[in-house]
Amino acid sequence: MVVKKICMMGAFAVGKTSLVRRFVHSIFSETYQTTIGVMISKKQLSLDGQEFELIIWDLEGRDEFTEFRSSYLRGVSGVLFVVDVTRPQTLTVVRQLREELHDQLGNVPALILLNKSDLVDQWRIDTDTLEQLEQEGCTLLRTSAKTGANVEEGFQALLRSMTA
Amino acid sequence: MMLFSQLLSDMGMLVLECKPGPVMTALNRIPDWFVQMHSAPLPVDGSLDVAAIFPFVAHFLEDAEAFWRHPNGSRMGSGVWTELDEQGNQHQLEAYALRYQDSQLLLLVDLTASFDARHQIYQRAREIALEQERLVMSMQRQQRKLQLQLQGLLAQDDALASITERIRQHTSAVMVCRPDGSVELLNQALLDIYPADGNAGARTQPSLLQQWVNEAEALYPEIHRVMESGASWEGEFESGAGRSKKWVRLLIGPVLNEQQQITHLVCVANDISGLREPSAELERVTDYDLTTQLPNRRHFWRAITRAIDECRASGEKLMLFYLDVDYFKRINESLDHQAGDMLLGTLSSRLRRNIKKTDFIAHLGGDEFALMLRTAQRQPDPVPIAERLLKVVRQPLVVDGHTLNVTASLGIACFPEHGNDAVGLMKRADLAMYHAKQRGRDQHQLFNRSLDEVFIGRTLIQKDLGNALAGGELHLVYQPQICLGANAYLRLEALLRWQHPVRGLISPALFIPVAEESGLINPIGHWVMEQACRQARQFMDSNVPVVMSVNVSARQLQAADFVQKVQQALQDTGLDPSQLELEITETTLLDNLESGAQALRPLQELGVSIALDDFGSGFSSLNYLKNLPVDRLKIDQVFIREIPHDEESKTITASVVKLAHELHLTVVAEGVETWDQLHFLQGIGCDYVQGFLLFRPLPPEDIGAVFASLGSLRLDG
Repeated sequence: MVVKKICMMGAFAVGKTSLVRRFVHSIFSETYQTTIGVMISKKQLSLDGQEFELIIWDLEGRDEFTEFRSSYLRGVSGVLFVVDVTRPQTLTVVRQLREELHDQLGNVPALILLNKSDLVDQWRIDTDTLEQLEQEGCTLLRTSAKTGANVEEGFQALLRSMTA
Repeated sequence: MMLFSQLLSDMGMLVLECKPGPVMTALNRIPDWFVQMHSAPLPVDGSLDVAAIFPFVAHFLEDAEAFWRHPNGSRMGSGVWTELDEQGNQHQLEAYALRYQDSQLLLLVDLTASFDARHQIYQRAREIALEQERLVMSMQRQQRKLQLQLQGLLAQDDALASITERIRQHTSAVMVCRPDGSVELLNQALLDIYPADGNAGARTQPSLLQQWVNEAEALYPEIHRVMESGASWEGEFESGAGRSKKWVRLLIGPVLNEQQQITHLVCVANDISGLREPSAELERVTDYDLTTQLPNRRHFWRAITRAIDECRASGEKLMLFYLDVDYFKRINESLDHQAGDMLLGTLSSRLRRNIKKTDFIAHLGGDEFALMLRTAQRQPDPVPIAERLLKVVRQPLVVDGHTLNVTASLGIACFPEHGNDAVGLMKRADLAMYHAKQRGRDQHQLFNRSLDEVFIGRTLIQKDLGNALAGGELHLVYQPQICLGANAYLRLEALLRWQHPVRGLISPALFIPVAEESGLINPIGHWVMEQACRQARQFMDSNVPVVMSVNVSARQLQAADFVQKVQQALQDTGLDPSQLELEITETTLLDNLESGAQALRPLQELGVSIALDDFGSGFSSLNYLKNLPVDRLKIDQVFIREIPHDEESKTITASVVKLAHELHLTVVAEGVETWDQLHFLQGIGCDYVQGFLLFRPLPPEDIGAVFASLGSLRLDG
C-alpha cells in the first residue's frame, strides 16, 4: 500500500475538520469545534486498482492567535485548501497560503474546496473571482461537509493529481 | 525506580530511548492512553516502533534527530497534535526531544486532561472573531445596497431632493459629492463621525473626500486608479487624528452620465472602531498571560507603541525596564514546570505590588517581564527604581515547599534618549539586560551607546563568521610548547585565526564567543580538528615529530557525533592518535562532567591525550582530576603572570606541579613571558612551557626551523 501525506489548509472555521470527519467517519456536526495544532486521521482509498493510505493532516486554521509551523508541510504530497463560500476573506487567506506553499515547496498538487456550498442564500464569493482562480490554474470543487456533496470526490481528485 | 516509572505513567508520560533503527525502548511503564491507541499486543521487552503507530511522530523525528545532533536548549517540542483511539476518543498529545548524557530521548505526553482550558480560550477567541467578521459583512451588504439605491436615483434625474429624505435617518454616514470633492449632500450620521467645526448647518466638508483618499492610500495604493476608472471602491482604514482617530469602513460609488462621465460620488461610511478594537472578552483571552494574569507580549507591544506616541506628543518621558529571571531554566528543570509557573505567578504579584497603578507591567513569556514607567517632563534616575525591583526579586520565595533564592538581570532604556520607537527601545533594553547578565547576573544596566557598538560588532561578526569558513578566511597558527627536559617530540597548540577581508585580523577573543553562542563552533571546531590533524601528519611526513594540541569547546563535546568526528579526522589524515591532544577547559565540563568524561574516555583509550586547560582559574575541583581521563594540566596564565613577584601565585603553581606529578600527570605553564618566570618553572620541575618568551604562534612553514633549533635552544636566559 502506498502511503501519502496530505494537508488540509485554510482560515479558521471554514470546515476543514468537518470535511475530514465526513470523509473518514461519514459524520457531521453543526457545532463548531476549533482545532488546535494538528489532527491526524488515516483513510484507505483505492484508485485505478491501487491501494493508498492517506495520512490526513488537518492543520489548525490560520488566524492571528497562533503561529503556524511551516515544518508541518514537510513531505506533503498534496494539499486541500478550504474556503468558506459565505466568507470572502477566507479566499484571501487561501490565496496567501497558496503563495506560501509555493514559495516553500514549489508546485505541490492542490485543490481548492469551496465548502458550505449548500448555503446557497449566503454565498458571498462572486463567479468572476472563481473564474479568475480557474484561469490561474486552480482546480475548484464545490463541497458541503454537511450534505457530503463532493467530499469523497475532492479527496479522490487530489489523489488523482498526486499520482498523475 | 519502579515507583518513578509508575509515576511517569500516571502522569500520562511515556519516555522512549531512541537508538539507530525504527524501534525505540520504553523506559517507563507504558501509560494507559498508549495502550488504548495501540491495537496490537505490546511487546514485553518495551520495544516500540512509535513512528509506525503515529505518523506525526515519524515526521517529528526528523526535527528531533537534528536536535539530538546539535541540541539547542534543553528540549524541543513538537506542538500539540490530536489522535483518535480505538473507541473514537480524542487524545491531545505532544512529543519532546531531549538529550540525557548520551541518550536520545523521546517523551510523549498526553495533554488531554489539561487541554480543555486551552481549547476553550481558542474556541472563544475564534467564535468572537467569527462574530465580528459576520457583523462587518452585514454592514458591507447594507452599504452596497444603499449605494446602489442612491446611485440609481441620482442617475435617473439627478434629484438630490428625492434622496435627502431617504438618507436623513439612515444609520450609515452618507455624503454625496462632486468628483472634485465639493459636497452636495450629507446626513447627520456623517456629522456624528466627523463633527462639524462651528456652525453645523454651514458645514460642507469640502476636504473630506481628499482626506479619505489620503488616509486610505497607505493601505490601498490602488484607490486613485479604481476611482478614476469609474468603478466602486471600498475598504477599511484609520481616519482622523489623535483622540478622534477611528476605524472607518467606506464605500465610494460613482454615478455616471450617458457619456460615462462621473457626475457624483456616493460615499457611505461606518465607524467600525468597535469591531476593529478587540472586545473586552477577546482581549482577556488573547491579551493576558494565563500563568501570571499580566498583560502578555502582544498586549505589551500595543501598549508601548501607544505610550511612545502619546509621550512624543506630550513631551513626557518613558522608562522601559526589561527583567529576566536568572537561571530560570535550571529552576524549572530541577523542580518542575508547575513550580516554575508558581514562581512566575508569585514574582508577578510582588512586582505589581511594588510599582504604581499607572505603571505598566507585562509578562513577555518564559522568564521575561517588561515594566514601563511614564513620567512628566523630567526623567527620574532609573537606578534606584532598578535596585528596588531587583531587591523585590531577591526576597526568598517559597514554592511547593521549597525556599528559592531567585535573582534577575535588568536592562533599562529610556525614551527618547535611547530609542525613538517601541522596537528600538525594546532592543536597547534587551541589550542592556544581556550586558547585565554578562556581568554576572543579579545586576542592572542602563543602556549606553557603547553597548550598541558591542552589539553591532557582535552582529557583524556573527553575520560574516558564517561565510568565513567557506570563504577560506580561517587559518591555523601553531604555538610550540617547549619541554624543559628531554623529549623527541615537539608539542604544538593549534590556534585559530580569522583574517577578515575588510576588517583585517579579528581577535579570537571576539569571534570565538560568538561562534559558541551561534552554534557555528561545531562546524568550525570540526574544521580545526581536521586541519590540525592534517598539518600534524604533514609535519611527521617532513620528519618533524609533533604532538598536536587542539582546543575543544563545550558545544563540540556535547555533540552526539563528537567522538566519531575526531576518529574520522584521525582516519582521514592518517595521524596516529598518540600524536593528538585535546585541550578542554574546566568551564567546558562545568555542566556536564559525566557526559564529558564519557566522550573523552574512548578517545583516550585510542591513544589521544587529554589536557585540562586554564587549570586553577575556575572551580579547580579535584573532582575533575579524579573523574576525568586527564593526562596533562595547563596552569592558567594568571598565575604565571604574577611570578616571581607574587608569593601566592608561586605557591599555587608549585603545588599544582607537585600534585600533578603525584597523579602521574605532566604540566604545561602557559603565558611565559620572562626569564624569571621560566627559571622559576624550571626550578619547581614544570614539564613544559609555552609563551611569547620562546615562541609566538607561528605559521606552519616556520615549524620545521623550530624543530631544528630545539637542540641549540638556550633556556638559561
